Amino acid sequence: MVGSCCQTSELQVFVGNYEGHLRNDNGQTDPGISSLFDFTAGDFNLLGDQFQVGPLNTDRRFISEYLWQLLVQQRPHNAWRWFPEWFESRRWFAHGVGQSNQRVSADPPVYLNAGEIPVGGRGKLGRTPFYTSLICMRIIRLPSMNE
Amino acid sequence: MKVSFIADFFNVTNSRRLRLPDQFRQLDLGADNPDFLQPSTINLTSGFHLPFALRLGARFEF
Repeated sequence: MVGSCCQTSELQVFVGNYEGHLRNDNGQTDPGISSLFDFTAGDFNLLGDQFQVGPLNTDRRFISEYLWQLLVQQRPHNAWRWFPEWFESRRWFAHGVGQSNQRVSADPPVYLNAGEIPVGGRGKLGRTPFYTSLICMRIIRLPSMNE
Repeated sequence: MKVSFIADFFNVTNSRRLRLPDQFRQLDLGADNPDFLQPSTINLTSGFHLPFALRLGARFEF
């Protein structure tokens, strides 16, 4: 029986004022027509905080993973006793993503669709709760036919 | 040739956690959204992380 464990951590910052052609926060899937990148007539930044830099929708500041592996070579009281078997378990932790206050553009009324302008900036409403998940894997390997 | 059987168990504890909230404060001008900050349903995506799932597989190496 052989075992191992390891731990990885990741710190990242993913901020900006434009997520890209597809917006995850309001589900907009029409590339290149995002209201966050349209310049309407009038004063600059008249749509509120659309140009303000903040955490984008896939920004998770901290991600960590704990991995345990166990290799069992032989088990005497099992029908599969001659086959090596791996057990693996991963515990995944992740920081939440930012929440924004998405409003329609009221003054001037340029965009009246829901979820257009992140008033107050991106991530104004904090983050979603910390997330953790447990993943397990089991592998049984049959003996090689060449052996 | 080597043959392996694999089983993956995702979200073993079947925890139900918020993944993405509905961030629409308003549905229209002057009309507040009653589902604001509730689990999102836009574009048919789930507002929760995926529940327990089991994946079975076989790997052939030759």
